Amino acid sequence: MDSEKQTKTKSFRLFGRVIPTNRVIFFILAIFIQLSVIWPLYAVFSAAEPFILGFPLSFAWLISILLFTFATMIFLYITDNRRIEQQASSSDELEEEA
Amino acid sequence: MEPVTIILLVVGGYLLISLLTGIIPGLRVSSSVTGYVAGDRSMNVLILYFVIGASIFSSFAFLGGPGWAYSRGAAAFYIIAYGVTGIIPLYFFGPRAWRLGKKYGYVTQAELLAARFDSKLMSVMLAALSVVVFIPYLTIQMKGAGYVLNVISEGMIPEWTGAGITYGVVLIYVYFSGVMGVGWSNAFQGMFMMVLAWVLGLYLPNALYGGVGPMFEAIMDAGNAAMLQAPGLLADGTPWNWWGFSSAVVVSAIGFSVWPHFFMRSFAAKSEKSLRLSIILYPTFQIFLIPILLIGFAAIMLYPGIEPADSILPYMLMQLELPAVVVGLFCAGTLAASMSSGDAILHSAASVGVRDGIAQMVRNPLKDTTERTLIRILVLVIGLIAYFFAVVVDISLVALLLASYGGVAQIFPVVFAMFYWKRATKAGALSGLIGGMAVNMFFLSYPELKLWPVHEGVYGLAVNVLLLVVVSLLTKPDHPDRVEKFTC
Repeated sequence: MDSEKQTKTKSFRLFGRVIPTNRVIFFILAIFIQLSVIWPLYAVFSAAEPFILGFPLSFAWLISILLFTFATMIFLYITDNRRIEQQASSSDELEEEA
Repeated sequence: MEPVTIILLVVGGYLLISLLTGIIPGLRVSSSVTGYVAGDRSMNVLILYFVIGASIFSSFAFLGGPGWAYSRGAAAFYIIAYGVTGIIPLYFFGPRAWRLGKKYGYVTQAELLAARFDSKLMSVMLAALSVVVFIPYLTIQMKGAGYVLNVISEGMIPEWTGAGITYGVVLIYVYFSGVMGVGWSNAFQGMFMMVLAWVLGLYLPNALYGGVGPMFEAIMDAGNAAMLQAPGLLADGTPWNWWGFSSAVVVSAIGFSVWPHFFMRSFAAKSEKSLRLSIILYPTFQIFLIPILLIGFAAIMLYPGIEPADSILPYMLMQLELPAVVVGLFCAGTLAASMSSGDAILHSAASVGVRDGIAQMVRNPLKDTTERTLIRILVLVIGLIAYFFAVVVDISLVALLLASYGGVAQIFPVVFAMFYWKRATKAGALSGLIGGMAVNMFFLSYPELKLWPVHEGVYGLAVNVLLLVVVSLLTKPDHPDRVEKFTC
């Protein structure tokens, strides 16, 4: 049962806490996002030119990070829902066995 | 009909719809404190989405956003940048707060913290901080409303009357309906603003320059390249440095999710899932800041030297020969921005002030009906104090508000520790919070003593986290039963 549960919801351990894989991926992406809107990453894309779809590079970069953040959050929501449903169904199974 | 009459009719119609959408939903919730403060925990995704989103669309964003873009160029990107990550912690804190709220009846942030750290002092301290920060916030919203009505009516409506009428409406629906009034009126106001922001943000560059691209090219050709290069300019026209920009973004992002009025909406959600969904949809609301900034950029070349910069949007509306109905709609849009933040702040300031402040200081627990009456009285009192500041006192409130971000950010470490760090103790949390706020205040008052040119909130947070960790580890762990309740 234990091994079966582990294959269903993959996870990492950090400071004694179990962190699901989807959230680990999300945290890594969130750090990238944070650095993209401040120094150092934003500094790389801070120039006015070239223009992208009419917007200066600095503005176009920020808009694309905003869209990327939205996509990342949707990923988190969908994978979290799947994980929570799996956990709920596996705990149901456990109750039935008991 | 005179153009001014048409404009006022449109604005009057908008105010009437706001009043109705604000009052009717309140008739359906229970007359308990939970009904008034957390809408009986019944908010669906649509309403929550607008309540959370409306917090970004204040009159500060609607007038200040174009103002920053107009006077400081790319520095205005700060307004978008901090919200990008600022919302993320709420995705993790919100559902935890919601579960605890449902189980134990909490409806405010300070209640959670006071229960976890077993400290009335913390509750009262956070209540005082909230009220102190919320009053200038509300005053700014009122001033914005009064100002816009004054400009658009060509001086016919004095600022005090404009602010008075607009916030009279807000006061009525917040008084009667509590959070559900805030929610439904915000949904109406939010949709209204979204449409207007896009229409105006795309229309102005097109009408004035022939498109967004040609507009930015014109700004470049006129030798204003520095305005389009991140992180833009300071208020005095010299370039902003990366230290200043990055630290302001980080401090505001950290503070964002723990603003008490924002955080406590978690308790109003119908379910955990609807709360999480409303939070992940938040970036769609932020996209509407893009056209808002385009309005400010459109003014750079055409109307140089307008003071104060925040008046650029109403100024442009009056200069362009637009049909009166359109001007009326934009005027109403600006009021919607002001009201949708103002109502939430007014409601939270009163709820927090009573529940976490007054109720903690009296010896016997308050009866539910007494508590609700007290909250309503405080709604009126806070509304009047803010109104008094808006029409009588003339101090720089925007500076005060921006400064308060550093103070609010100090709540973040204790909220994080409450949910994720079992070893955090009462002494650690209190010393972190008090130390962080003191350091923040100190560097706010004496900016010349800073070692690095970063936001004062960063110094506050460093001391805050250090004290929280060291004092917690040096003191006896809190009672395991209490800790488990919050961290599991």
